[in-house]
Amino acid sequence: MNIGFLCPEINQNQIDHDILQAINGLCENRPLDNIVLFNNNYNTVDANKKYYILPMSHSKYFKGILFVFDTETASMSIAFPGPTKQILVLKHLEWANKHDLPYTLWYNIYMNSNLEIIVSNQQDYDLTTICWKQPIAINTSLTAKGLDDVIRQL
Amino acid sequence: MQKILAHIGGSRQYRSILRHISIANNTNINFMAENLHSKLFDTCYVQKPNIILYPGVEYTQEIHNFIVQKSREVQIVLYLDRPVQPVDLFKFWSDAGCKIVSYNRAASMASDVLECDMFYDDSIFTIIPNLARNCKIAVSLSIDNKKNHELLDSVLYPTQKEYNLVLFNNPEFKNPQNIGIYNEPDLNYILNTFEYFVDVDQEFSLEAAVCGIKNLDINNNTIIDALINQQYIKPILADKNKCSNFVNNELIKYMGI
Repeated sequence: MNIGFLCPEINQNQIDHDILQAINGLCENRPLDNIVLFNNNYNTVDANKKYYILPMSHSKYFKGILFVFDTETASMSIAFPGPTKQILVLKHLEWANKHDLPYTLWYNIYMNSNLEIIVSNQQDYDLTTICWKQPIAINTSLTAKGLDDVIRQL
Repeated sequence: MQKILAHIGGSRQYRSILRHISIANNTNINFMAENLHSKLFDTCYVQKPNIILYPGVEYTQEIHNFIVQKSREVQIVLYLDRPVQPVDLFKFWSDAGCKIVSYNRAASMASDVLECDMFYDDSIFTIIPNLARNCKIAVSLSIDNKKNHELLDSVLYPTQKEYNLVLFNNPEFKNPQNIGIYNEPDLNYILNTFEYFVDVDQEFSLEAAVCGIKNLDINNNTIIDALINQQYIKPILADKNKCSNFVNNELIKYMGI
């Protein structure tokens, strides 16, 4: 199976560190899968790196499951013809503080049949279900096991 | 050929009228619409229109002066959709030969006036075939947040988890269920894909009826009561409620085209 992670920037912060840790864990759990990070700006050191890195442009025709980590990136990747499924990991409800945008901007992303949503707590799960659609999982923290469970559900 | 110059602005109904004039199948009309604020005299000097269409809600000193100076050369049609103050203006407009179009009896004090009943834009609001409805409630918020809070606070998450309310169209209403603003085609899609509709200001009853959504009657009810008792607003739709009929059958004739 091909599993991709679309992260335009990787920096020295806890959030990006957790993402890389989870990807490394997934590489250990699924040694037969092709796991790749799509990234153009890698500003950190990962001594334990087990994944491949490709330029972001390669994600457009990537045939597999593609994880994205914010709505802005998802708004770009949702038009990609390659990925068979995209999974948006929402750390917080991005529409909840931006009420002055056209609702179709969110609708075209979240309600896309090719996209599933992961949220981080029960409240976000309920609100995402009310406003858009039922998320595929609640992952309180990003872990390899959590990602693995989501991939098995697809 | 009559050249009509219209000011872009005003209310939703006025903009619907402009849209229908622009698509009217009438070869005698040459229609232009642009923002005329601060350039009414200039634009008229260049374009030399026969008719000026202007919304009363944006009545300024500029259009007033224009009527004083140019009303004998150009036919001025004012669209009024809310009561006008001061009422002396009606006499002034009448003396200057202005024509008045009054939406929903807003200008009942004027003598020569074309009354139009409430209408909806039939070029936008229609049933979209083969769309499934979700079991949620779309709420079109009022700009008055006090009114919104009174009606909604008891039915929003986390107080109520049973009813799925999705809120639209007031960026100042801070709630995670408020998912943004819509334009008219978006509203048409909402009215075609949600099961229930709550219109806090009650200005979209015709549109809701056209799209077949259940428009909850919140006049004397809470949302939950209206939902449980199945109390809906059901206006009777007639051909006169279509904006295209009003423009093609009445307004264009009234303007003397």
